[in-house]
Amino acid sequence: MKMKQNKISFKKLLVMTVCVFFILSLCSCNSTGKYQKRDIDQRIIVHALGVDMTSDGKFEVTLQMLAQQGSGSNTPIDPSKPNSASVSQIADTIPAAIEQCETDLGKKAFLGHSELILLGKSVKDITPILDYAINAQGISLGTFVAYTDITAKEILNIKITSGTYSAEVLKEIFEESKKNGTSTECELIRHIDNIENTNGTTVMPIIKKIKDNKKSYDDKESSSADESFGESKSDSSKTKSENEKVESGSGGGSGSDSSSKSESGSGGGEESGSGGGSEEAEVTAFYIDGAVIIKNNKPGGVMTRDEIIGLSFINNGIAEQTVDAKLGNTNTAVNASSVNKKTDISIKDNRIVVDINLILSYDFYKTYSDKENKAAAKKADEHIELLCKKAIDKALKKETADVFEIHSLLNHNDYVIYEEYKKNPEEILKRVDINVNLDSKI
Amino acid sequence: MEKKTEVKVNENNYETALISKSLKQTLLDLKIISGKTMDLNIMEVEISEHKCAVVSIEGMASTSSMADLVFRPLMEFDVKGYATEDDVFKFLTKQSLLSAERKILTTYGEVFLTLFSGFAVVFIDGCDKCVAFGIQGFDKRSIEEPTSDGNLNGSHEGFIDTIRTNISLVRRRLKTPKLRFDMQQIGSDSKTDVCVAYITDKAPQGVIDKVKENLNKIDLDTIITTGYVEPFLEGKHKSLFSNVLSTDRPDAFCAKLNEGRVGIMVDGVPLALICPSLFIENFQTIDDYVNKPYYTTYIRWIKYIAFFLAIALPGLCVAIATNHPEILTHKFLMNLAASEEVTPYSFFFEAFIITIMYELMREAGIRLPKAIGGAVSIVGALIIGDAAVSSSLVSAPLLIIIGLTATASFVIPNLNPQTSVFRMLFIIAGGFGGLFGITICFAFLLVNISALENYGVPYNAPISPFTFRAMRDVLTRPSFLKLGRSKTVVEDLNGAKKLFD
Amino acid sequence: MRKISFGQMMVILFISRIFYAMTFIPFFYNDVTSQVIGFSIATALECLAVIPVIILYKKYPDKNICQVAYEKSKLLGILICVAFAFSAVLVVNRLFRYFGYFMYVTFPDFLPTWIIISAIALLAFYAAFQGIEAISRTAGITFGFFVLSFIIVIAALWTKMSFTNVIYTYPKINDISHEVYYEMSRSSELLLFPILYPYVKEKAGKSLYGAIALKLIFVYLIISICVLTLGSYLNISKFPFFDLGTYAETFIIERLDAFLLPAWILIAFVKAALFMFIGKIALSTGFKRVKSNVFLLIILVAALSASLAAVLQAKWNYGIFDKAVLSILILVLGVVLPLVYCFGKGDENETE
Repeated sequence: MKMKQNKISFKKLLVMTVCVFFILSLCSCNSTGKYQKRDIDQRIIVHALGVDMTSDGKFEVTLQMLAQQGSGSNTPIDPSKPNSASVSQIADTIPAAIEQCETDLGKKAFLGHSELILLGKSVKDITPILDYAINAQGISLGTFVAYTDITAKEILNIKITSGTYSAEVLKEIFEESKKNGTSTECELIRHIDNIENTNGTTVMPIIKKIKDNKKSYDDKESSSADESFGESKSDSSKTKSENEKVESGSGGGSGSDSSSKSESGSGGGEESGSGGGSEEAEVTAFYIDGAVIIKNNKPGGVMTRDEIIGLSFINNGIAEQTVDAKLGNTNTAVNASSVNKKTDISIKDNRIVVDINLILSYDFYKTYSDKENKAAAKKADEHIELLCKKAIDKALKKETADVFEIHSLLNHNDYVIYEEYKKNPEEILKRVDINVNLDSKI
Repeated sequence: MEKKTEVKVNENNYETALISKSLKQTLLDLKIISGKTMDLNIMEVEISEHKCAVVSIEGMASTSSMADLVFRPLMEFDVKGYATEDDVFKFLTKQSLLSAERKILTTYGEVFLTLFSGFAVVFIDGCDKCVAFGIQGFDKRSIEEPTSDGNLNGSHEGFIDTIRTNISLVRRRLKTPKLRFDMQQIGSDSKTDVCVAYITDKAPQGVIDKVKENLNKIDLDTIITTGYVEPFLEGKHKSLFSNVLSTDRPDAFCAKLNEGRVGIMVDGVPLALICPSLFIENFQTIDDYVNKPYYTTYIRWIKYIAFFLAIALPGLCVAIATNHPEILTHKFLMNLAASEEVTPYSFFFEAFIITIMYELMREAGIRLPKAIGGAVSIVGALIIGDAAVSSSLVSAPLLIIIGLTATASFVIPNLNPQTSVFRMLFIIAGGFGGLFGITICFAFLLVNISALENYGVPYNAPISPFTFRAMRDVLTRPSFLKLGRSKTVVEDLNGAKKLFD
Repeated sequence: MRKISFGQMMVILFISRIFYAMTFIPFFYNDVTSQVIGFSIATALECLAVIPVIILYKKYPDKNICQVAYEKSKLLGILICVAFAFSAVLVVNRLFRYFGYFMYVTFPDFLPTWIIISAIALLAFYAAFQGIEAISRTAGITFGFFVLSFIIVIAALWTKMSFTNVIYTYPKINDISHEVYYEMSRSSELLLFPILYPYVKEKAGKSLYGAIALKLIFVYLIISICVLTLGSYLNISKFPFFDLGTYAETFIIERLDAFLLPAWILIAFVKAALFMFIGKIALSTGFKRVKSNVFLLIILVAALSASLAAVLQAKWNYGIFDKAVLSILILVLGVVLPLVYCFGKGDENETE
């Protein structure tokens, strides 16, 4: 009986020892070191990540983050003021720059809600950025990746009213633009998918800042801005010092930032809105104009807005787009939406002919007679065909870039040519002719 | 010649001691055994020139019944010619209708058992037997509405403390001779009446026998509430849940008997126990079978969600806010971060403290007199609700979460103890281990419940092991047109074993 | 002895297999076409390979293979029991290492890996201690949870799937054969069934085929969803199905990756519990005088200590040892041994 009691107490002792050991381990892990538990307010909630290159090849990383402005625990967000702040650091690598931001703010960056990765005009090679995005813990595959024609820092420093932050506005702009075809797919995973399949080719939309309440869409076929993607702007280095930080102009933001404010003018940031001293919050500040063609992971030519619309039609990515059609002397608009797309590939005279039959559906904004409807539809067809031709001419003929999912078409229809394509994509693309036929339904 | 040393009767050896033929000795023995307790009433009378005594307990037997049903007939008893003790005894047992219930007793143990049950016992000088008449007249509560399991459209009668009244409540609803009640006394000192109820062609005999066997194994000296009996009925497996259901509603009790369960009623407790029970039955009420099926289905799902919220919501929030904020939508995260910015403690600690405070107030609300109980809710609302948020001690989102949790926990009162404890466990697990900790905790509970099986029926049934027909009454509440056609008794569940075939 | 139903057995066998599929498939180091073909061939081979064990079940419906072997020859029986226990330890060890690796990569700063593995191990021990009924009922609910998570992921990603993301490749014989080999080395249900079939009330053989069919369906579904959604991202993705969670969003949950984590944990611990249980049964068959729970403790300590030793040095994979030894054990214990014992007279058959 005594032995049994001893046995029982030994068992209990063993169980208790294991439990106590476990609990102590958990407690010690939670309070110190790498596994220290951090509350939400002990993290930098990053909305957007911006990357620029300095003239000496270093990365300037800008984090747009939440700046809490609660006046008490029951009024967390003050919707009348902008609630984002940004911080920038320069380092040899992106992780190092982010680490410097964390050190300066005393918090760990939380990238799980990062909605946008913005590449400044000076970024020459997207490989390190995409590598970081894939391997960084937390960045979602649905994060948008886009270029800008100025510095990413400028864009992310812009303050927006109505309780939002610029990354959210951009995300909404992207989503809306995708529906009407003025922007391409720009999620991280789609870029990676394209790059893997086409040996480094993808299309990234360009975000531009509204200047003086004007948007200037670049309608020229070859934009003079082409050459400037990938070159670091000379004046961008002037604005940067090693430890420059920018604060939101909303009066203090989060308490932890207040001790490390720097003047917006230090280092000479002269671009409008680039310094954190821009107190005027803006209602609308961005627009999307065209896209950069990335080839071999490097930015190349630029497609204009119309070309992107044409590209979207070809790739069957349009939910609805308003197309101008002229009826006599009257301008009218036709609401076109993609219904279906059929693709045929054939080889004719050593040329790979891709016949794309687009089935579109047209809606009119005014009631016309049947005859007028048909005339308007015909005009719309012509317009769309023109847009498609522009896109093909720019992307395929001029840039020899596979932005029309040619690789997928070849893979599904002619594997032999696909195998050749994998070895030498440019050679194959030079032999490709795309014919777009429209079948519109009123 | 050896002198036989008589062992005197006392309070330790009275149970099997035979009643003495001498009335004087008997009355003396009664006084010795009871320690001359003041509530022992002894009235010495003469019936047909034979000395008799009527013994009762103060307040237990009805005085008016005693006068009308016992004394008057006894006084009017007149035998022509010489009446022996046996004649008197015969009159008392066979020729008079002094009460509906009548017992012949031979030992002091039986005498005291009946006396303390409200009987009046008549002793006759020269007779070593006595007669007990059931003329109980102790004060008892009237039948009232059940307190814990309220409903709108069903019966408003609930069990009371007296077992015989409870038996009558059940009998009135199931007018079948197949309904059986087996009474036994449990508790060496209290000798509490415990009744086992079942319907013979529905309840498996093995289960009935096992229940009785478990009751016989109870070696306690007093049985005050059903809580004393439950552990013996639950079996060996140490589980966090109990597979013995309790109810204070006679209609629910009858419904369970009809499904082949065995019911146990304990005297002095307005609750009845039902075994075996299933986990899913905690979400079913008798009101479900009154309303329309679509509405009941909707309310059932509300209950399942409420249970989930009551147990897991604070823990999940702590886990997500601390370890996995990427799950939250962006605006929610921003609001939460802004709220937490000004509070001094971590989200986990706030949740922990608020939960403790809520439990304090809930417990205070139960224990306080009703007159003061209302003040607790005002104090709670003011202190926790308003002041704590305004002074930035806690964040408003957390308060909403705890408030929602508290409300949800009231939806399933049967599981209140488990809900309170698991909620705290989940908060701690979520705070330390995030979703991993919560999953580990949940898995532990799952294994614990899955291992629970009593009287051959798995506690998890019909979810796991899956029984399609019985799942109808889990996922929905089918109409009686379907239920009536194919009845499911507990033996039909997958995983149920046939005991003692 | 007969404690679990046909459905529960099917679910148990399925869950013992699905962990690797949902964690690693499709593997990034191999093209998907070869993987699909290799997997299909491996499944077909498996359907043939289980025939001996089903015949054995029909011959000895109330005795597991260890009991049959022990009755035929005590010494050989003990060796076979030890071999089964050793296989169980290897499977559990591999499971813990891979699960630790999964957590290390997906949630690196969350908790130390050794705590994660220890927690899973202790929980699995507790479940194995409770017996096969507790494990099977838990497995049933885990399966329901897994299916629900699956449906939510599909619903969230429905609009993001596209056939243009599918890139076909010509399969290579080398890759196909590798895939068949890997698949066979992961077919641990061939170790489970010979031990567990006496616990099944009816149709044990059909439950095995049912589990194989379920596995086939779910693996095809996983591969299809991953390919349709992730496209060529699969070439660099270590945990494709988990990456779907990082991409999926619903209107109330921003990302589903952490939301899917409980499914992984539940499946891992149920699998570990199962193999600890069969190890215990095997050893208690060979060494009848020792209490069976002692063997459970031995298996826990052996598997956990080997896993912790590997994890603390970040050695997630033992390379050849991992696959080769297990493949041989699965082949010998799951196929050859039943083949040997299925000849000759058996016990009186119960009708199925």
